[in-house]
Amino acid sequence: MNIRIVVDPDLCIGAASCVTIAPDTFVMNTENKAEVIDHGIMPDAPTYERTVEVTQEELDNIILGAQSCPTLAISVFDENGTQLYPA
Amino acid sequence: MKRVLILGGGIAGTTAAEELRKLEVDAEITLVEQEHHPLYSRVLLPHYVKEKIAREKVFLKTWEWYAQQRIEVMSGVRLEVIDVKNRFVQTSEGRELPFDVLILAGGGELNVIGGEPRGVSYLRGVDDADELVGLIKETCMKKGDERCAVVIGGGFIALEYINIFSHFGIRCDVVMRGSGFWSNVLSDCAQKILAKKAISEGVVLHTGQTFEIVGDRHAEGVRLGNGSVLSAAMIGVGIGMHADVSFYRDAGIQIDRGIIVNEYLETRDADVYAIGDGAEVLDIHVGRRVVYGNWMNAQAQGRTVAKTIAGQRTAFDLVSSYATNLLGMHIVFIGDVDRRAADEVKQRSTSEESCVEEFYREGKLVGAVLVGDVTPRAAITARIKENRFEM
Repeated sequence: MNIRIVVDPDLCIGAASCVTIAPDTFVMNTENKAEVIDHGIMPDAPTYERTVEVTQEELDNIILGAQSCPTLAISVFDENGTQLYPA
Repeated sequence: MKRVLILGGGIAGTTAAEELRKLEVDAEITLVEQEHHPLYSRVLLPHYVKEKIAREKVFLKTWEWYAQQRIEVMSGVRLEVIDVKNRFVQTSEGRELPFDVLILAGGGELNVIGGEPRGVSYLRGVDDADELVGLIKETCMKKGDERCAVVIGGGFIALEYINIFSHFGIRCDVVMRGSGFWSNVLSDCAQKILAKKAISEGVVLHTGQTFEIVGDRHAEGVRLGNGSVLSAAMIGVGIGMHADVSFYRDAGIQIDRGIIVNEYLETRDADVYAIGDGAEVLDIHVGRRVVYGNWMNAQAQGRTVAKTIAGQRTAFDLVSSYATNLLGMHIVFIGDVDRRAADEVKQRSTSEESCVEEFYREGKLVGAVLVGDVTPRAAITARIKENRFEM
């Protein structure tokens, strides 16, 4: 399935808990903000939002990463644009 | 049915309850919390105070959520007695609650000056943040030189106050007992970089100072040890945390700087666990017991302890880190950064506005502080994670 992952850089404080839990999806940039990558790879320019194809297991872990963010800076949407997190 | 009693409804205790419910459908879970609020993010409080988010966005759970999860919450309640031997606690309401499993997740206690007039602010919880919002509004209505504040302290909370006052254009003096920011952790090099940044943004630093708050009903300023008085419409205090040692010691629970637990978050008493800011945890990556007061750590410990209680005994395995900033300059603490516990501290300045301090024990890298350029963070975290100590 495809999901869209969005980081709000204005809320992100660089705690990096998302990187700890889902290192294949999040990486810290030089501004100490989390960016979204695709299975460990940054296929094009750095970005705060990206659509990636994931398995259910991967989605569960990405949601766990989003839940771990102390500032709720990460949102996850399904293919229809329905917000999966924060629910 | 297993009766699990959790003291503390912050991120550690609530995560433990949530994860345990996933793993044990039948467990009877009770959460005792001093505050009257459902779980909220303390990390979001500065965002709320700076009007970046609405107040309701601070809350991460609703009361309905606890009911849906079948987690009984006793809010506005303290524990008066913990009887580990006879397996019960007594609450401030006089109720006795028996337990099979006890999780101590009560957090740390804020250090306070004591006897303060109105206008002195602490930033521990959402009630404090509400009061701070009001004080800032009053201060912002003042004109010219009267629109000023004093920050007391040189750690994480003090930095939040500096950032908040700067955000609202409130002139700010900072009073520190030590020689600079995090004087117990940082070298002169890192302190100089941070001091230079603060001064360049118009913040006035007063280091190595004792202090006394001036004002009877409302704070008027701070008198320093050298006799000078800094006038202030409000005062933000961030002078650290401590564990409520005496309460737990009286209960016979093993205490040092926090509640002592092994890598499985177990106290020496069977079925009694401690997690979060009040726990002194044996950290397998740094080879000693450490008290970490940060969100990610507390949340991860909540998850870990739930697994152990559900029968999947799991060691706590996280390289702890904490990130903040001083007026936009990044600061990251990784692992064990207690200078007194390090055999060696190596510092290197990577530029005029950037430095790295590395803390070593038994020849191994156990902690680091990054100021300015924080890009080495991932590599340092990976190095600490590889550590294995004989314990």
